[in-house]
Amino acid sequence: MTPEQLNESMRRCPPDAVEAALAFQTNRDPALIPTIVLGIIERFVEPDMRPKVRAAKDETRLNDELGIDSLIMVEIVMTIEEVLQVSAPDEELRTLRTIGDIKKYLDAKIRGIPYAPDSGTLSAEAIAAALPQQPPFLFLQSAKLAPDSASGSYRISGNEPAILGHFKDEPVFPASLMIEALGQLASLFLIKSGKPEFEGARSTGKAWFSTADMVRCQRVCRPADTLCINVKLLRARAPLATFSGTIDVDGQRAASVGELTLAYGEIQPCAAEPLTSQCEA
Amino acid sequence: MRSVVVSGLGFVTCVGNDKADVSESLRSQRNGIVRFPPFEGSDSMVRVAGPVKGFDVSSTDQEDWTLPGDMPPLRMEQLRSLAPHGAYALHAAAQAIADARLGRDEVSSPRTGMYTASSGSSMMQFSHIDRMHRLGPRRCPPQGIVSSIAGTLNFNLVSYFKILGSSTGFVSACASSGHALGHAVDEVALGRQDRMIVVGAEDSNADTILPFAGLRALSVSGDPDTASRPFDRQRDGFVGTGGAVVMIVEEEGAAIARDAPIYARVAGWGQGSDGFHSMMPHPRGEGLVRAMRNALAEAGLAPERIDYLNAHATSTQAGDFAELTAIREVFSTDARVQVSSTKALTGHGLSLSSIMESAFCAMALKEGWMPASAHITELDPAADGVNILRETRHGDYALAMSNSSGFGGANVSVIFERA
Repeated sequence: MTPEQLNESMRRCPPDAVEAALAFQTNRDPALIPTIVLGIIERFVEPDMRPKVRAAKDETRLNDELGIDSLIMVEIVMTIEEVLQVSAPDEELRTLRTIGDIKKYLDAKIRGIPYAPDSGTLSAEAIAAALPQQPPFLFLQSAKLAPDSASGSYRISGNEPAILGHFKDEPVFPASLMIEALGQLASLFLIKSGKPEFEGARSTGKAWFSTADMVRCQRVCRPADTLCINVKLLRARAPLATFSGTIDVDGQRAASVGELTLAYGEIQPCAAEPLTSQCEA
Repeated sequence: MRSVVVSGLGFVTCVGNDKADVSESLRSQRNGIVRFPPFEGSDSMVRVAGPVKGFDVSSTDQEDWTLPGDMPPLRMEQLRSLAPHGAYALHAAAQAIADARLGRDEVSSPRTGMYTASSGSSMMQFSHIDRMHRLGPRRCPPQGIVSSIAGTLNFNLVSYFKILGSSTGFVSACASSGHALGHAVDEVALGRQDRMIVVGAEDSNADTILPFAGLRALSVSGDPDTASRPFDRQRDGFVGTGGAVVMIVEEEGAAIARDAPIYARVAGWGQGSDGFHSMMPHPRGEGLVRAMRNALAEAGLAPERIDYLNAHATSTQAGDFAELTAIREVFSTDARVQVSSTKALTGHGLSLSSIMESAFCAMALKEGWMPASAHITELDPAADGVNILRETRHGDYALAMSNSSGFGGANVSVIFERA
């Protein structure tokens, strides 16, 4: 590729990325890849997202945090393929969800080593297939499972039916749904962990809310905010599993729960004791 | 059948980018034709065109474009799926929506639809296909198709304005936007929709216009002020133009309730085909005769009632002759109908022309003037018995008819009534 062709391919990319790409032509140094790739991504996202790309971390999600849909992804990949002289098959691209995924993927390509996608990451489709909760009552768009914890994200669209009435003329994501989102991530952990002690969750495909203690909400969340959801397993004794959980938005704590307990497995309904008070309304 | 009125107009044309400017240009017979730099050096001898002003959309890369300051806001993803005439159409549609005093919820409503007409963008299509041949299909931008093929207008505008009702595109060459208008009127008259946004647009560049030099249909005159001269004995072909015109047609009660400007009532429309040749009009304009008669019959009007006829007349020998013959056939020689072709001032806008001229008729009816046929030095003797209007006429009148004819002998005639 001549410098002219490269400049044409990287038109409107930031100068540092173009410079890195020119250097890459001669030395093929994998260390240059992050600058080149971030520059190409920055060029294709909406202008108001560009500062976010500049500040992106490896775990920054392409879709819900940077607004990169599948069409923009095609343009980004086309330019990357041209500039780095690599080819990226569609089936491999589908596994890339974060900035870090892209960097690792291209690094492996340039070094000629096989790329192993992070198997713990679940897409929105995979989550919807695993959980009994479904849109419009599913508040989890991506999730990643670790041995004793899970992280996930949900971008508030503003079209959630609940938000239409919460509040009048002022859309705010209900705090109760944040606790629900934490519960859904914890349920997903139980269903998909693969651990023998949670077999009951896997086989029934669901978990039931039991208790929540030490719930705090510290930030109002509105449409276009992305909830970064984390749960950590504290203890488990069938049929109960207890987690702690946090939700952050833009690096700020939005909500936390000290203990969130779910019940799983074949739950027997207990005989309801008659209530002493009755609903009058 | 419900009564249908014209309740909003928007213009991006070579004779003006807003209603007032267009009206003034037509009344003062100010043409929008210039020597067009992209034609210089072509071996076609064609030198003049009616380009749109205020937009630089000459690049195949949309991010190079310069759009007017009052352009509706566009996200990058929306910009990158537009053809040049899509940018014109967005601007004209925003004008028409504001003119009709339609709120966002009325535009994005199951009771509002959109019909569009354009031939697609030859420039964008060529650029993408050329890239595909050179670099392979995987190197083509994903929005290449929706920014170029016929249909690009409805793909982009229906999604931009979040249209929820009927939507489709019409492709019948120079009658396209007439078909779009007629079917939109039916949609409202039948109660399927309360209003329809009708869009006609074309690129205003060499790739859309110059291919007509291949069939020797373009004027080779170098003088912008006389090149387009329908009904002149020495006419030598049409002058190409592009742009976008948007007309909102609406159920009369809904338009009145919103206090929208009512330009005219649509009295009726009709079609007729020549069944004759893929390009040439029938020499006696038989399809056009049928179209005019069908429109008159639907409106329940005798031909004598029509005050003004905006002819399709593009300034080609064969086309103008066929239309004059058709007009004589439909209207008796002592009819009062005044005939003109505004293409002398605008040039011929292909898919755009029919809705553009319908909009001219609606506006002129409301404002009380008749546009003249400019640039005639020597009237064609074939116009004997037809009142060709040579100077703008001022004063109210009741009924205007607009004709359009497209390749394949497709003809549309629409009648507007002063409201």
